[in-house]
Amino acid sequence: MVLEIGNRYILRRFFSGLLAFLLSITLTFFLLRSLPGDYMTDLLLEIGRYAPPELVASFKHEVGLDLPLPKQYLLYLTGILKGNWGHSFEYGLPVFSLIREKLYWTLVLLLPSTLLSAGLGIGLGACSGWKNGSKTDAFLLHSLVFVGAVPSYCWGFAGLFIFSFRLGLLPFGGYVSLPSTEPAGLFRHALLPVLTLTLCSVPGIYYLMRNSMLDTLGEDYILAARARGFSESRILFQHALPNSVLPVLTMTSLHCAHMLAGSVFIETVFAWPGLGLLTFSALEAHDLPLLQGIFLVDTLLTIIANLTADLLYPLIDPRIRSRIRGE
Amino acid sequence: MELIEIKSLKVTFPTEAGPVRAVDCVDLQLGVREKLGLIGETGSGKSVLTHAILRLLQPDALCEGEILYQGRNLLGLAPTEMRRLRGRELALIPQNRALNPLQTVGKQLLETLRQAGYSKKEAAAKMPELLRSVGAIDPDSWTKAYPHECSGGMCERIVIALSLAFSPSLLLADEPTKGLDSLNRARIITLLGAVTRNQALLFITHDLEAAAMLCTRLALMYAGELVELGDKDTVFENPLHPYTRGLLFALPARGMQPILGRSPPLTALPDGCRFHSRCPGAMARCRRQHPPLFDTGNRHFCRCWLYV
Repeated sequence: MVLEIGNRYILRRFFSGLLAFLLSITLTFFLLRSLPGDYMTDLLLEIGRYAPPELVASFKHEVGLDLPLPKQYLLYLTGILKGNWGHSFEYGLPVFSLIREKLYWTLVLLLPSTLLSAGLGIGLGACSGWKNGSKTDAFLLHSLVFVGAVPSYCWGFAGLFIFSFRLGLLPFGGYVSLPSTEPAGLFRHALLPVLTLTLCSVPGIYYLMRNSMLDTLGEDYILAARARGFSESRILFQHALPNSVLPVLTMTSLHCAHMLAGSVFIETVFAWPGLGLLTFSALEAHDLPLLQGIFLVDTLLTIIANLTADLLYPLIDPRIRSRIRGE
Repeated sequence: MELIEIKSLKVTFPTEAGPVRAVDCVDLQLGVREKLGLIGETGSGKSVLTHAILRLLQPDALCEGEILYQGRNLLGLAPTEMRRLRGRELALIPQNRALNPLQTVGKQLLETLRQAGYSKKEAAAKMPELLRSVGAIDPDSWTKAYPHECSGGMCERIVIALSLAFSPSLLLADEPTKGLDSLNRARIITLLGAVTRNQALLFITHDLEAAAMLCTRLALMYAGELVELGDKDTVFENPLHPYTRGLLFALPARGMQPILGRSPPLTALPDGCRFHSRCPGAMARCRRQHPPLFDTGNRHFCRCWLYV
């Protein structure tokens, strides 16, 4: 099947991904350098002192921030190519290994919640669109508009208040202090953040799936299938569902990347030792190398998600397959 | 006995602007193996009428009157009974050559043949035969193709094959020649004539010439109503309704004179005759009083005050 798609298509997707990556890290690099304030000033402000200009200057000299911007940029690029992402100001550790450890914990939240929200969003959206105009549809639509309108951290706080504070069933978070892979503890700590993340991404997938289902149901081939006397379940599962799930696929893979950014709030609320919390503290501290590294990983994941969708699409949709072959 | 008998059928859709009647008091009969052409502009209610026969309208559409199929009122049937009739007895050739874009032609044919009661083996054996009957020379290459890889004429043949998978007694063909070039149009008309030798056909179109080639009777609809009904030759040689005359004069062979104006929206129907604002011979009465369908003799009916 992959060969059928054509190597040219894959190569082209790959290169456009690479281009997007270069553009994105360049933008990040220059934007971060135009931020007001700097690491040393902020650090000393925290303990109530003004930083003497000589100290700031010597720090900048030491980390290379006094070099001309183009030179810094070149050094940064060659560093990335060599696998050297720099050292964090705050932690003094290599950025790469810092991120790798935190990314693991973020993925522990992200993967289950992506699967859950894709399943729930597609299922509920399909049900709602299929039963368009019914009470079930109205109920689902109104509930999910409400769910989607409330910011993620509010759901996080609500969950903490009910399940941890009132009912005492789950811990208040704070997994930061004891990251271990002991399953029961991990599950108890991860449950609320996973559910909160899921809750926040279900509405988007739901709307898209519902609309897509409504569009599909208006198609003539659905009417034709009904006119052939097919059962409703056959029409739903053989014709309506496969056709309406297609546009949702791309969206879901992008959603996964968006959730990475969304996890900043969730990890902060639940004190989860992941990339989100790291981003938050790196932003507070003006830790430029670390921020660069984090944004680089975000970009990379988004591009990978996109690429996956681009490669999956022709496998599922014969129309796209022929268009690629015709190119 | 008539195969299908539609008695004062009214179809009403609820809309935000109030109820809209898309089909108004239509009476039609179709005998066994009879071919009837149903002609009208977009929005005249032809498709709604066919969907009403198959009971495939949106659930909130209100159907009044009777649709008797072999003496049984379709509007009174339970959904499961109605589903048993669809395809098997009443088959639709859908508009726009509708095929599922994600499935190969073969898969869709197999599915339909299985629905028609064939076993897997029988269906696989029957498929090439069915495709040949609609004009495929190399059926195997057709079954492997996806709909987007087929030409318009090919897709039309495939949807015709799908409707013939059962052996229905009535075929409802919804604008099968729409958007085809003249060669393919002629071929599809010939094909439809050939495959419906033993079936009744309700041929929906705005193509008068196509209807004339294929049908023995013609029915013309305007703004939800039947305005003229009669044998093909009578209607062509002696059109009674000004609308029918207008349509005939609009044909390339007869002068290509378009009918001025446009049909009224169903939400704002005029008083009196629905055609009066476009009618060259409108009288004072036409603006006030809505004409009934007059029997002018010789199985010819017309909704116009000229024939009181």
